[in-house]
Amino acid sequence: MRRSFRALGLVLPGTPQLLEGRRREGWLALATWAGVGALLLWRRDRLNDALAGPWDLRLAVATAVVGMVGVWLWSWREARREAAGKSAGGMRWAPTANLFSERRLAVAGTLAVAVLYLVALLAPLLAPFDPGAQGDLVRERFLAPSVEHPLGTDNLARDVLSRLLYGARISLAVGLLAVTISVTVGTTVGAVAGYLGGRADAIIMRFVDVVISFPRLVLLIAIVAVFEPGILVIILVLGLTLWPSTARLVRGEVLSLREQDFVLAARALGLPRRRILARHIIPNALGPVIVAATLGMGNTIVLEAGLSFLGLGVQAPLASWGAMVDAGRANLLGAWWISTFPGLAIVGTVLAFNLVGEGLRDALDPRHRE
Amino acid sequence: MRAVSRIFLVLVAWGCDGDGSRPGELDAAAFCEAAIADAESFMAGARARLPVPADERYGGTAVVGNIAELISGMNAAITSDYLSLQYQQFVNLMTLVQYDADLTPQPYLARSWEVNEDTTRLTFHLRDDVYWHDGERTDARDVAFTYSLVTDPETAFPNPAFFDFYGREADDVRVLDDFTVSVTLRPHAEFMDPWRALAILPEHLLGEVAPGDIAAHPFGSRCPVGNGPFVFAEHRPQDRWVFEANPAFPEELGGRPFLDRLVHRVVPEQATLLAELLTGGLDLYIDVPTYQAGQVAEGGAILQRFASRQLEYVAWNGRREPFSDVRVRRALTLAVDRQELVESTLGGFGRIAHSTVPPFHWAYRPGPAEGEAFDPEGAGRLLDEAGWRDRDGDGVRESPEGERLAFTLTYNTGNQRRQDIAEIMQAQLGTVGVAVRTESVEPASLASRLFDPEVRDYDAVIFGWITEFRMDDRDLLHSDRGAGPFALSGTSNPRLDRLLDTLPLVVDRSRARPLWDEYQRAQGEEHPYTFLFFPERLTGVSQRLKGVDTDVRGEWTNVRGWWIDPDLR
Amino acid sequence: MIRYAARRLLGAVPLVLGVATLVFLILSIAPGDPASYLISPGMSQEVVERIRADFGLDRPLHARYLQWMGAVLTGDLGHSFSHGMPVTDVLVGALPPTLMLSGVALVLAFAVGVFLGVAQAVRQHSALDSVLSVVALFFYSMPSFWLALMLMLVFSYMAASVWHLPFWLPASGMESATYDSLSLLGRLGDRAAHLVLPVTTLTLVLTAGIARYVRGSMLEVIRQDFVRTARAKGLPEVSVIWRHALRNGLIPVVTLVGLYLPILFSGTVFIEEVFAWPGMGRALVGAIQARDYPLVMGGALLFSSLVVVGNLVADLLYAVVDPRVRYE
Repeated sequence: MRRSFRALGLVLPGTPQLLEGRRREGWLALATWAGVGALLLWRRDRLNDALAGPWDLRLAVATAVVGMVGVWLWSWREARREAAGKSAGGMRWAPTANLFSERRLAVAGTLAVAVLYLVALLAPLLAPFDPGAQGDLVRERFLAPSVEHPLGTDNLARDVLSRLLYGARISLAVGLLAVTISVTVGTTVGAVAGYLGGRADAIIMRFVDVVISFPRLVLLIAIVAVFEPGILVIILVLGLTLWPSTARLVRGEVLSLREQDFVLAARALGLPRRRILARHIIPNALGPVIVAATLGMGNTIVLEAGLSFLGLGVQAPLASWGAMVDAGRANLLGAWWISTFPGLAIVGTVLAFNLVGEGLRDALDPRHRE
Repeated sequence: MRAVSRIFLVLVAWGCDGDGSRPGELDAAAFCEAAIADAESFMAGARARLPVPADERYGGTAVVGNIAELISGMNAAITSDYLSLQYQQFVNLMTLVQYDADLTPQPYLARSWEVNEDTTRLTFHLRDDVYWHDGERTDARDVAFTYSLVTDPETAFPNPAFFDFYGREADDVRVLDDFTVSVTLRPHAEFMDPWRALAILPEHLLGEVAPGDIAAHPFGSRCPVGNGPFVFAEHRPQDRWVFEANPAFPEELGGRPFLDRLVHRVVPEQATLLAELLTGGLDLYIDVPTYQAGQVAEGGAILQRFASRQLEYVAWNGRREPFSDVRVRRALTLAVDRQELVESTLGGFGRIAHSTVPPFHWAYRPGPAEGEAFDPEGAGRLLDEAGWRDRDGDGVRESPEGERLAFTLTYNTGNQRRQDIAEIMQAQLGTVGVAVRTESVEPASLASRLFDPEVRDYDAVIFGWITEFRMDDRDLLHSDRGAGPFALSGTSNPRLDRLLDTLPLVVDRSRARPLWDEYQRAQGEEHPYTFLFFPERLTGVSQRLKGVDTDVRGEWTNVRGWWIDPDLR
Repeated sequence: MIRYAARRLLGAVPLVLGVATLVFLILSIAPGDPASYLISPGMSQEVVERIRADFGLDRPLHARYLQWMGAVLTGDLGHSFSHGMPVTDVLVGALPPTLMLSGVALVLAFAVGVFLGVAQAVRQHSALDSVLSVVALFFYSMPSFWLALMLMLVFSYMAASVWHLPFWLPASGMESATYDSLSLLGRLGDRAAHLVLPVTTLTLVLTAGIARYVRGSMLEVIRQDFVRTARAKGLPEVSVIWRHALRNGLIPVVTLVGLYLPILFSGTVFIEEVFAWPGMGRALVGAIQARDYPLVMGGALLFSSLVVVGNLVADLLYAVVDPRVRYE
């Protein structure tokens, strides 16, 4: 019986799990696999020139293929592991993972984030039009949503849906990279300050205070004015202005961890400081950092939108969602669809990240356990 | 509200008294307190003395909205922004003359004027019934003072070109009697133009101020005292200016305006402005963007349109390759479908520009010169001729040395129209094998890259120009001004130079016309800029505000005749 | 405690000056200066130089810095050219509108946030908890300018011009043009109507953070012994939660008050922009765009002082409400 499940998994991934009663995972695998497959089938005309095509189309095709193969491999391995009677996942994070997966909203958020990244990567395959292609400038501007343009057209007769799909790449990339920078810097600085203590701590934290009490908008606008507001500058600026709060958080965690028995024990054993910090303290302080990072993704996307609202965001013709809201805002009363849909996309994305973040917080926080 | 602001001023004065280190501030507060008190008492007296005429058109408050503040307020000596100028010329202050709809000077503060035989002395006879709002009479000394102030380089008057052909020495302006004043000049075309633009300032309030200190004087934005049809009542920064009807305004000039109060509101968001107009919060929406035009009419307001003095153009940096080659500049113009730009970015509210001379100018020559209409194939031929060919088949032309025909098209951040133009041009030029990168730069940064003759860091930039009624394009086109801030193209053409030098001095229009024709053709040959279009300016007017009549002179031209429908008041 | 406060404030002086110095440096690096903004056609090079000299731009950086710092120390923030008035006047003029908007919004946000947080904590994991979490997070996830635009679209424009409702909300400003001629009651109503949209926007954005914080802190308190004792004594549940538990649950919330305090004075740029509210946020951003250095620096100085004071207030309040905390 088990063996035949596995055989089925070779054809249709997810089916072994479905038959074993793990419905959620089974349906998810099957739907992803079928969805991506259908997309490739539908867009097969674009596949021909994919290899010689632009990098983003190649990346999209690669994502689709890797995704399908990945789901298929996962399903097969899971079925085999099930057959061997092993449980999934490592021990350390298992309780957290379980708590997390009990929260339906958090799981929904995670799924939404996954779908968003998939959409961003697959944009060249999904978008019905070239996001930069201008239609007939006299007759096709400001078209209301219709079958041909499901979300309407904008001030230059471009398809809003296509621009929205491509815009996901910019907004998500900005969020991800900026948060990576801020978390890396913030964790390092905070951990060092907290563990060293004394004068080093005082100096570092005073500096953090200065950066935090700095009117961020001044910094953002000034820096964007100095450099051309390219996408890299925006990412760097957002990343480098967000780290101090992470640093504070980590320092607090480290301060309390420092006095705990296992650290004292490690110290008594004469382990070097760097090792204690890297192996014993930081991993245990990571929970809140992960939460902060997830919530920070949302904040960063909103901030980028705000910069775009001031005209200082990513440059045209690349369009982040914020820039799209900005471009449509003056004509909000006449062509509401130009600003409204990218706005909803921002809200949906940020909400998804926040749901994940909240779920993680609850799962990691012992207070919230029953 | 005024009482509150007065208390506030007093508090500031106390605060300064305490540390005693800022005498300037103390003076400012004292100045304003005195000025406002005088104006209030004079106006109270005038109101009691002069009853509101019995006509249903008198009364009510009209609210005007725009995204901008009146940056310079009523300080006419340092004003360069359009809105402040309009309020100075038509609302709070007075000019010596006003243009009528045909742009012929008509008496206003000056009852009459004459020039001597060889046009070297211009004499004004002023009205004797115009009072500053604090009760002081407006006389010849005010005119002489204002003239001396704006021609003093220390003042940094933003429009010195107005007085290029006027005498600038101390004795060039003479007070002949209380109401007669004269200035010396050299004969030149349209010499009356400065006098419809420059509002007269009160000598009795500002006479003691050093020209270099005038910019920071509280008169401008805190407590202006004018002599026009509306009296300054209140200014809240970033929010509103409030003006009240002047009952003592001369009967002969129309007397007290119909409106009781005129409010200028600053609303930075265009969607909000439109919502305010359509929900009754605004009576006049100044400078409606073209894509809101449809909503204004659909929402039950009235849309007015008029030719503005704005010219939109692309400046090619002729100091750089490939723009130093006139064939390339010409080809780039031919490859841009300007009619489509007018139809799309302006929604049809505007006209193609073929030179700097606007349609409202008497010497305007309609239609493109030979070989200037949209012609992408012609553009291709010109580029071929100039050596730019697509040699490697990638869709972009290269020079014989293999350099790509690519450049960056820059515009200022926050200007949606220019962003649209840039993106459309990018697409259109792409079809003739020119690779365009668009770039938006924050305005202040852009200014430092454009105007500093040592920097000039740009390939091509989309920019605008406001034409005065007396045209003077030397800053844009004359090779003498190559080091000036506005020589964005930096090309040099002896024929254009000669015309630019001659045109201002030819007084007789029939003699000038062939020169103007030649001037417009010469611009087409040199092609320092690609002139895109003359946009129209749109105004949204609510149903209850009557008598608004906008034209090229501006929106406030006949503000004295605006009135509110009594049934909708 | 007074000594502690004084020491903290004194220690903050270098911090505030440090921030001001940083702002000064960054603005000096940024291209563009006020003169380039004021240049107009026909201006001779001498006039341009003269304007630059007026702003002190012809002098070296350190000289400008020392002069500005010296003036600040004597209480003079300089002259804002973009407003044509002293910086102090601009800041003092922009402060009341901001205080009014943010003050009302903060009070509302804390009231709603505390209520929601407690309600969620009491029924942890219930449907109510989830629904409230999602709704609060939904608004928290919105860019404030977009929420502002949408609210204006619906409650002002659509209500008046599309649905023709008898009543709609004013789209912008602090008061009607006819405000001065209204009765006292009329003025109150007018002011309130103008406050609704901006205050709603700000409140919706702020509430989620507060509610979440209160929920977390209440969850911890509810599990503690004294709550169990109160219940065991037979006190009604309402009294247990709202009197005993809440009092302790609010202690950490007090720090939040301090952290939110700067908003009260610095304003929120985007909401002020959309609703044409003449507050501090707009003044500061406008000043940066016009390179109005004196105003930017004055604003930055004020802002960083407020952050410092806010943090101090939070710490002190903490000591007041929680007797276990002592500051030496």
